[in-house]
Amino acid sequence: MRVDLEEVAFAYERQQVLAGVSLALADGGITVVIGPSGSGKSTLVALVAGLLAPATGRIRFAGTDMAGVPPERRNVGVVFQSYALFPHLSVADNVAFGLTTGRHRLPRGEIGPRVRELAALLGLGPLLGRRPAELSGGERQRVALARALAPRPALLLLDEPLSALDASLRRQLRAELAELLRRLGTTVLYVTHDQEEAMLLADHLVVLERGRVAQAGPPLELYRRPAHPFVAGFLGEANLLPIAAALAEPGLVAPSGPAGSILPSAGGWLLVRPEDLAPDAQGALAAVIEARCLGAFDRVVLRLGGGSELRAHLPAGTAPSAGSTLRIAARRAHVLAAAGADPSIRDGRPGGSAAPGPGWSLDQKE
Amino acid sequence: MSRRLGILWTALIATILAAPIAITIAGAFSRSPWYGLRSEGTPVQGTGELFAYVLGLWGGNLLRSLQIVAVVAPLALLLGAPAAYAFRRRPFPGSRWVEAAAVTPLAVPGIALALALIETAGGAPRFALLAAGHLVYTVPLVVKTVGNALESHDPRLEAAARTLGAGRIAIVRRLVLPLLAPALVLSALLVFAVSWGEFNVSFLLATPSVQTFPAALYLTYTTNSFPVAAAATLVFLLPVVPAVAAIQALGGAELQRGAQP
Repeated sequence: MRVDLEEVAFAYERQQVLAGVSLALADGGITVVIGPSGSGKSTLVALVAGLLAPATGRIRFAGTDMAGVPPERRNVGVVFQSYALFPHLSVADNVAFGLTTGRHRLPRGEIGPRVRELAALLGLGPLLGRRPAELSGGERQRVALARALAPRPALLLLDEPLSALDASLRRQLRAELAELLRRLGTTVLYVTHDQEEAMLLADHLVVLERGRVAQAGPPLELYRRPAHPFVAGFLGEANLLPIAAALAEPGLVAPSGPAGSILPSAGGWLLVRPEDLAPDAQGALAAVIEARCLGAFDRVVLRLGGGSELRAHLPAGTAPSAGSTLRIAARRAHVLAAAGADPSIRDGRPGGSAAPGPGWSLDQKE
Repeated sequence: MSRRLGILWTALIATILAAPIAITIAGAFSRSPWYGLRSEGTPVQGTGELFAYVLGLWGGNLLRSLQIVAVVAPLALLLGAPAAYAFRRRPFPGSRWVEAAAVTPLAVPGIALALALIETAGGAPRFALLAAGHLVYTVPLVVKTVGNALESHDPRLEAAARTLGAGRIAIVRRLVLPLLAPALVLSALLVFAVSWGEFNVSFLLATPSVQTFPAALYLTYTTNSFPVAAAATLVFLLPVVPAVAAIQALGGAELQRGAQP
């Protein structure tokens, strides 16, 4: 089912939570909304589910305006961050809940088979008789998913479904979830603050910043060609250099290429991802400030001649030690023509009130 | 050593607290001439006869107390539980203050409350006035107990039920009531214990024809012989003991459940 949000705004106790959010969920696609805490992600889920009503704007399900339609008649499944499993009911009764009431009520004889079907899908078989209090975090997450899927919702909403789990379990379930959601083919709106989760799951990625859509598009497109310094910093690690400073480092980016002529006048920022930096005999000279091996790669902090710092990921064991020098070049770079951006974005935090602008990219060695 | 001391101390406290009850029981079952049983108008012989005599004297008040409890307990739940739900689940600006105000009567002396009730609704039937006096003391208990229970449950549960297709009635029937059942039973027991034993308001609002059992106990203490007063006290305590035991058991379970994630 296609879902459209048109200029949806919501305020909570005079605090603007969402300001004119427009986005489209493709039928059968996985749309991931990513943003830091307080960006309005959970509110978005509650609005689409009908648990909250937008102050202004419209939410359409397959073209139909959902204004005034209560959650129980929206045919959405929701996996809450806290899972919200019914503590007085067994796992089987939790999963069956949506099949015993409301529009998706099934005849008594069909409830058991449907519950067993979901139990098989999610590996809940041995848990059906247990109470939620007797389950582990990962098991609860699967029960919550089974419960939401049981009435065959046209739209599945997941509000940070993995954030309550520890890191290793999260990684494992992330992959399982991605596989399952693709297999089901349900339209999915998935909300997270985790960048890896977003990149892994999303067909369409939406970056939310303080209640506004900073950028939306295919995940790799957003990663490589962010339109906004906030997006660059939030999706992965980013080196953002003022254009003038970047051009003052001979060899950092090749002078040839289509963007070469635009750069000096454009202003804004040059984005270089740490993994796109590599030693190069013709590269810019940089001092190694810090070098740490993180196992999979070496993480290096470099200082260029002009004083700008860069973070680079080099193949494990290849980084020169701190105090030495290195010639380095960017294999891929992207220009953000955003005026007034805050360089604190480098730490992955939102910066000032940078306006989103068009971006240019330099793919130098592809 | 400190453990043994603790046990000794607990035993001492328990003995001191239980002593009056023990003496009362002894008074109701022992026949000593100097207890003043002969001062009663009718001669009373055995224990059975004593209890029959006591019930004959105060049976009407016992019935009155039962009637009051039968009216107050359901009303307190009907008034208190929805109020607690509103305070916790549908808070409105200033609802904290309203909730605080709803619990204040617990700290108001019974005499002041009784006078306030007579001032505002003195013309109302005495039974209704008595019930109102008891409600003012018991509704706050329900608000607190049910409110605490609601606090221990994820408010998202109701949102989850709605997205699964449950309407308001289904949510109350299948989610809210089962989850609150222990708190509601606990509230009912607390209301029973407080209403059954309420003296201040009841004594001041009582008329000779509408008088609760605790008010009658006061009369029996001031006018009857010790065995009669002791027997009346035992009759009074009879339903209280199982109620208090149940409160103790349920209260513990409720607290343990609330502590779980």
